Amino acid sequence: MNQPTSAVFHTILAVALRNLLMHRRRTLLTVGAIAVGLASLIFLWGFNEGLHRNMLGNFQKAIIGSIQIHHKGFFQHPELSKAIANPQKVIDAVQQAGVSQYSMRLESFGLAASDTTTQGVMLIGMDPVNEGRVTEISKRIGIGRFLAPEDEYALILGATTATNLQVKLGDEVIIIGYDRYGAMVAESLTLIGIITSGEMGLDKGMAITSLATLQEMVDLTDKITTIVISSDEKRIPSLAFELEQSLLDDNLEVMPWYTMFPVMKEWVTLHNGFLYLFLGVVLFIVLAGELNTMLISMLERTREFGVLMAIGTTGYQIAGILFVEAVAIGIVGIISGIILGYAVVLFTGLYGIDLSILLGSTSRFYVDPLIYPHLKLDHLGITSGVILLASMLAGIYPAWRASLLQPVEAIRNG
Amino acid sequence: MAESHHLGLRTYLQLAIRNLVCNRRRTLITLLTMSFGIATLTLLSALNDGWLSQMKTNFILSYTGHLQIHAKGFEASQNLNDRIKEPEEVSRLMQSYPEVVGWTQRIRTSGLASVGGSSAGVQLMATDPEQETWVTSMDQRVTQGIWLRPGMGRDLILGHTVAQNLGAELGERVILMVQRLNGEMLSEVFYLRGILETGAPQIDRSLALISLNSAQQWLQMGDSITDIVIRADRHEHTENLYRLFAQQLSGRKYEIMPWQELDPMVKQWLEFSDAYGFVILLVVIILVLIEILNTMLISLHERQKELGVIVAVGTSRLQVFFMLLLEAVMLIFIGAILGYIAGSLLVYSLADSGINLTRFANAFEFFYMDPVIHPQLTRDSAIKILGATLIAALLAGLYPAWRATHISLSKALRIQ
Repeated sequence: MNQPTSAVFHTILAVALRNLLMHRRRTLLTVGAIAVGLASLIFLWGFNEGLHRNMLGNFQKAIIGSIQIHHKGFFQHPELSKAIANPQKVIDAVQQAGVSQYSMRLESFGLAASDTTTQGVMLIGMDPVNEGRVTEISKRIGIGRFLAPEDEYALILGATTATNLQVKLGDEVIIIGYDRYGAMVAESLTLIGIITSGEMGLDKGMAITSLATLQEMVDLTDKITTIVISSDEKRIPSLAFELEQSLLDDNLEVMPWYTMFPVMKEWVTLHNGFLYLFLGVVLFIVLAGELNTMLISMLERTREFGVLMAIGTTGYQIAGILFVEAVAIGIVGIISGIILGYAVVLFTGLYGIDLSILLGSTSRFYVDPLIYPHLKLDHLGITSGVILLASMLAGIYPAWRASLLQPVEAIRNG
Repeated sequence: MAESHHLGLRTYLQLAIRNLVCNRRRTLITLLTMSFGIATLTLLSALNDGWLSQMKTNFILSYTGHLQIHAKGFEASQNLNDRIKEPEEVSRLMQSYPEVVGWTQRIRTSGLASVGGSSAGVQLMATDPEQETWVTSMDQRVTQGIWLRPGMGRDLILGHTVAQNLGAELGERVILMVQRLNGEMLSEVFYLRGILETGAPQIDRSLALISLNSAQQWLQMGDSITDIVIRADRHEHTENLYRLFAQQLSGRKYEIMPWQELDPMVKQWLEFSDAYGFVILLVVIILVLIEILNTMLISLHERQKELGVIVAVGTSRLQVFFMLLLEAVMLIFIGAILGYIAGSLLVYSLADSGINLTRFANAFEFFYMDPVIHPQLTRDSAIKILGATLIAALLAGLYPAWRATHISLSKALRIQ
């Protein structure tokens, strides 16, 4: 017992590792308990993240884009008097920021009237060519087609609005709006497309025509109210800041989607809150499973410890061996859990998880039927830490018990 | 040996119980794993169910009610010509069903609201100020100003976003423009008395609410209305009421629509949330199953020597298999029952106060989601958990017991 401490430590390490390797089955089972638990946590994060990305992406691509630039106050009170004063300057700034995916719109309120009834609508004049770079509105048109550059006085309505107005493709629809002085203007437009997205806000309350047509109708040649930009989700905050800085003295508002529709952001936060509550509970299951497997396997080894003590190993050394074993199992479990979780997320991320079996139909609430899980590892540190801590705990209790053992009793009772 | 093949169930039971009792520590730990797993599963599924049912309730109470009766074709046409001319014929039925806790009459049409220079398309809705409060909680959603006052015909309530878009302030004159039955455009002055915030974008963005009497006079509609909205005492009674009304009312004259049909978007949203919860619960169920299986495997692994001795003294492997299986099944069922009880207790203790998620989002309701979740135990989830337990018993009982019968005697006996 007079060996130098480092040698003892070395021996403890060697014995612990040999124990783990000798009892391969036991080691595999305990490691497996941790790995499966961690992997399922990683998968659940990935699933949730993939779903939210899909949802937010679809939400932006539906119609609002990632960032919009308007005259100050236009978003709250959309009036034609708040058109953008100098569109070219804004476009220069956008291009300077390295953005090529942008489009211009003119937006105003109006009424759509057919022979039978009227509907209040948001009139949107869109650039037929550039709109496709920003949103996927053209893909949501189930009946008819999207605007073409040569179209004049062509109109696209949502399915609900079209049904309510009882109009079909090729029908004339009267659009009543106000010009910038507040005088009423009315034009007859031909219905060329119907949006059948099944999504909130698209199928109802919108009338889309080409930018040029609306400009002519409300007598605002070359004026626009909105510039819509599409950007990578990660770049949105910095891009918005950059644009804000370069357009500082032009009386404009640069609004990312989450400023325009904070509810959507709140929704994601609340949904995440619900998930974290769930995952917190799941983590408990993982920890309990881990603790139990380790406790069972360690507590069954009393006899082995008795023999070890009989040949002169001290209680503390045995405790040390157990502790090292527990930590090693914890570390190996975490590493294999990360690899397994990673693999599951990558695999399902490649092929997608088909929710349509559960949903019974395709697009639902901005969610595609196929969900591609996306790795999100920002909570991995905490989770791994907690799991490692649990494995230490699972090692400490049997270690403490072992250090109290009397060799003779241990051998007899084991 | 001959008689030993005919060991009765009693003997197996005694053996299994003795094994469990003798090895108290192992039994306890295994039981704990199972109860813990099942308890958390119960809690999670109750959280999920509570969350979904709250969304359903919030949706039904915010606007649509459980069931609506219109004149045939109204929901599709939204045209005032498809109206209920004699509401008496329907409303006299309301008294006869105890499942109806409240009902109201409404007129719905689209129109234009304008304040100063700005105008916005609105969904004009006229309702009885008092009866409406029996059906929906709209009156509690007025965040500024007051609810409609009975007898005050010029009161107007606007959705939060409409009011914002119009720049309308409380007390301000708002001009509403609608089309009368004969196609003539009518406009009338109302005074903004309240602003409504339901958290449902399509309502907040489009609603303009006035009282039923004044709308009937203004539009010269007499007693006729477009909707009769009914609230049932429980969600599950919607179907029942639907059938009762369908029997009583002529299908050529009326359309009866349950809430799922009135807002397909919300139905989709609920279905989606259901699917989402299902995927998550499925992962958790698999996880719990694996943990249980794992515990059983490891506990058998540590008993190899004991099993070796049992086989060595002449017990047949089939008998060992049955003994172990019985042990496992007993353990799992006791664990499951304890777990389910613990989980239910936890659910009941949390059900009233709820779990507050406001920390994650400002006390904000969006898409009928509540930031405070009240877990709820349902029969469906109980069946789900029972099913999971059965599978666990089969897997964690059969597989390890089968494995244990394949031990090599010499190896098992050599184990220290």
